[in-house]
Amino acid sequence: MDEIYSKLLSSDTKADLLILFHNNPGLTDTIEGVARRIGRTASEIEADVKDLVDLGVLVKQRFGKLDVLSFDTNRDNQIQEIISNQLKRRAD
Amino acid sequence: MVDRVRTGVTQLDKMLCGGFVAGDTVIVAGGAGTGKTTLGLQYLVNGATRFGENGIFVTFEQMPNQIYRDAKNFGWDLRRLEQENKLRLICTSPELLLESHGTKHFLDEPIRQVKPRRIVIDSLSNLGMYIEEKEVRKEAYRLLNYFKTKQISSLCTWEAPGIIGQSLLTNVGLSRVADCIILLRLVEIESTMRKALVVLKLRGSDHDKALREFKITSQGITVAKPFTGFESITTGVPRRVQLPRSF
Repeated sequence: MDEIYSKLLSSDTKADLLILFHNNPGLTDTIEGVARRIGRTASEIEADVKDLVDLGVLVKQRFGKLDVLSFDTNRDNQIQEIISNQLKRRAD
Repeated sequence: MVDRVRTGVTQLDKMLCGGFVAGDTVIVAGGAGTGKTTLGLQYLVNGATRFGENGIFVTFEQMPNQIYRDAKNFGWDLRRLEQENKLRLICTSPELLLESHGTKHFLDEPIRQVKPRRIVIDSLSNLGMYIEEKEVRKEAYRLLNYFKTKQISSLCTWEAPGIIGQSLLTNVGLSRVADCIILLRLVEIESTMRKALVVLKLRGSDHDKALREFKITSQGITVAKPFTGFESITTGVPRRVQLPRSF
């Protein structure tokens, strides 16, 4: 759990991605589309996306010639708890 | 007897002689802030809560959390409807709707899960961000026929910033793709911005041709009586007309 927590919060981009998907669970988009929604480019978020996919937080699927990202709803409760703690810390 | 899909907006359904024709493609065109998204949401919420018809809302630009919040202002709890599997809110990029993966479409899975009778695409004009204008009609035609094949009635919003709003639809040929076109626009009357609605087209059915005032209330859109005593309302700058005394 600690390892997941530290990896989840190891960069601002990861935190932004987690908050984005937490607040918008219906988001299913290309990496470019996701990047645009947090004011970044695909190349800027690529490494963080890979970490979150490795952690099972995000799901990456190939659709035609596009890579599509979505939130793993099976891990939603666990992630919500982690994000909730992160939001509380940011607010403090 | 034509099968109708009621919007649940009483006066609008009357204008449409009972509602949209089932399985048809509806385009709601209008400028920013005219109420296109609100009408689309109301159509889905009424479908799910009053008429037993599930729906899918596809948004490209507006984020779901904004939509949940705005809908709540009208008393519509979209999250609850999603939990009840009566509604699905999908936020994505238009290119995914245009992409095909073998014989699979991006919306196949949500359609299988929700079994919708209604779908809202907000906004079809976003297709123009990914393809050339001349391709929009062809790609829109393909997408809308996908819904028809699935027997889903589609309502697509169309951002029309022009004076009358209809010209852009005509430019990309969408007026021929749509079975029904509703135009929403802001009009200035005596220094007050008011909202006007007109059904421009309803293929295969009679409809009310009057230009009516509508309001966005705390319960959503309500359509009122026709504008009278003015002309050139669709230009956005109406002129008062002198009615004969006998009127």
